[in-house]
Amino acid sequence: MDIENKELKEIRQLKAIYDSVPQQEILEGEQAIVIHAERNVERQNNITRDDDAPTL
Amino acid sequence: MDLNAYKIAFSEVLVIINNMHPENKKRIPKKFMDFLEESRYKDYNPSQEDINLENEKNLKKETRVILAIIYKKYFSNVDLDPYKKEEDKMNDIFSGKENVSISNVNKYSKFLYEVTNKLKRLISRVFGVSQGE
Repeated sequence: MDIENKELKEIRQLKAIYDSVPQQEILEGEQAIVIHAERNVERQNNITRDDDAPTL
Repeated sequence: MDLNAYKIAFSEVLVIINNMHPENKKRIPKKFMDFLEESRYKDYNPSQEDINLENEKNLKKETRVILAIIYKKYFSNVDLDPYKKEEDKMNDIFSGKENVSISNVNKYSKFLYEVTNKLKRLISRVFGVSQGE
């Protein structure tokens, strides 16, 4: 199989997955991504705050 | 919604993306890859043999969901059959649907032929030479 075919085959496989997943589950997945991203930001903010705290 | 299940899915999706064709991998922004790395369950490191697109039926529900989102965001505008357009065009030409463009070529040739003849006549009139000479 040539390189270009491999590239297109992977995209077709992704499309097949996309077509088989209900839209409701995709929405739920997007919400999960947002929640995790917010948690990452919160974690980063806590680390920054801890770094800024004066040492005794 | 099981958020921990998504953390496992992020680990699996990273394995899949890291083994993708370089051109496909390039379509996924580094920022999103960093997000997956930061959010994944760090103690779970599946192998490429277990997690790949070839046996997509065996992937977890959450992994399939994240892959579907990746397709929607970064791959849905990719032309999956770039050769089909050329093939269709060729079929149109030979089935007569592309007559318009062929007749345009003929019109252009005719126009060039007429202009050349007019120029020849003008030159022969100015220099007094007959067209046959």
